[in-house]
Amino acid sequence: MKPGRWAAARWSAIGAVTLIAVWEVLVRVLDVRPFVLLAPSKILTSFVDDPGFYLSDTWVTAQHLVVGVAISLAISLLVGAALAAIRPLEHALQPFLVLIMVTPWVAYITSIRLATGPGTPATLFLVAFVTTPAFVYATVGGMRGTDPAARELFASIDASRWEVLWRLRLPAALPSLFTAARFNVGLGLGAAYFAEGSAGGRSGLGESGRRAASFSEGAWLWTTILCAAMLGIAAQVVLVVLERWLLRWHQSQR
Amino acid sequence: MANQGISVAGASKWFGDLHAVAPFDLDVAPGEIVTLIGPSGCGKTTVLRMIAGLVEPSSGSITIDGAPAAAAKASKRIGWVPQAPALLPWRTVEANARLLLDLNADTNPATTPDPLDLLDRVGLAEFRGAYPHELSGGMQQRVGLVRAFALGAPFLLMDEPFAALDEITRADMRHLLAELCEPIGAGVVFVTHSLAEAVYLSDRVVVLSPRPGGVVGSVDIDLPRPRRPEVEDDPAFFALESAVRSLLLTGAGR
Repeated sequence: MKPGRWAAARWSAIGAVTLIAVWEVLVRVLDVRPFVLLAPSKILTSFVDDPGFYLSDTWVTAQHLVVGVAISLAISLLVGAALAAIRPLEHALQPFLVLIMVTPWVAYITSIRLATGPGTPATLFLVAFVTTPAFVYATVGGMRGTDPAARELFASIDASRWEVLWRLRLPAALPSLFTAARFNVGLGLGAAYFAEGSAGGRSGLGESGRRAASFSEGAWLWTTILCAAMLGIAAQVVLVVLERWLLRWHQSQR
Repeated sequence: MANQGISVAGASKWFGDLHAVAPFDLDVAPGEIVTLIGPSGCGKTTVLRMIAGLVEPSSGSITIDGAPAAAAKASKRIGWVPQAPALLPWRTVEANARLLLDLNADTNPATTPDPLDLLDRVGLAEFRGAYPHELSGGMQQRVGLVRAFALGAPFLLMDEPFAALDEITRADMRHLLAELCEPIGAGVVFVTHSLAEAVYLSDRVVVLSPRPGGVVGSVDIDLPRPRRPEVEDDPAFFALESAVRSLLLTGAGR
């Protein structure tokens, strides 16, 4: 690790500790109701009381997130590669992608539930659906951004379309795909939590949180929220590690 | 066998209404090193692209060893050196040197030069594991040369490969290129703005007129081979540079 990174890590740790301290003090001093905001110490107590209860739901949500995002990525790479190659198709699909991005999930979750069946299928569909546009844009932009001189070089020895895609366009799209992935982890996690609670699922943090809310259990609700946040942080860490390794050639890693 | 080498017969190029290259004749014998020199925008690069089969001529024909340029491209008989090094940033120096061998690999000739040996000859052996961003501009362009030579192709087409380098590095590069070219007996078409590069490297310098580019005349370079940097201090070298310069002025109508 470079010396600069140690300093950065130290300041991040100081920031995190300060945040938790301010949160704890504010909740105690202002006597905030648990349902509005729970003190970190109480969240920790609630989690430690029954970790298995929260961890099993966290595991379900993690699977929803990973599988949903993986489906979205696979579809986006196929669609993106096609769009990068065929410009009219890109324009034709543009309204659909914008529609996905701007339409609130709350509005159509019932339709998804009816179409796919309740629970996990609806959750996976929503996660994959909402994370697709960012991945498609990243794929198209990254693939279009390939060095024209490199494309000419590939053409000079009659490289196949597949080789151009696999050895030139896809690696060129990796940096923008990672940027999209960081954004999509947060988006996908929100979609998973929401769909678990709203599409008739039987497990997952979102479903657990919905029950907590219906029983007005502030501690329970806030612990599911914190578990979701921790899951998001874990996913970001995985992405950073992957990025360091896969993009070790890229200027963002220098 | 007849029709050996590169034969350009009356090839011209229009880009829409723009007449880039006037009907153009050029013959390059196997093993001959020919330089195209001319003012900026005279269509030198377009001529080179037509020979490489990257651009179709609007009229006339181009054959390489008797076959159309596209066939030479498909059988990997052309080593292309672009103006920018166009190294793939995610490949190490060694992997970049092997790039043209890795693509369309079924068509590789039975024996090819060892890329590591070539990297050693251009002084980059210890950088084989480095990424392109760790190299200077001159080093990157040396990798670009090795990449083309590693193909073992009978023809090399070079599009102002040293245009972006400083004067000192340029001189080193032309000396190095002569050392690489002389023993392998490949036919070379080299495009440049530089009188020194043209005279030092070539068996023959072909001078082009301003757009639409056409042949003004050519100068045979009868300096002894192998060429060594000392030849650049020889009066004969200056005389040949003057001969090329006066043809350039004639072409420009001055």
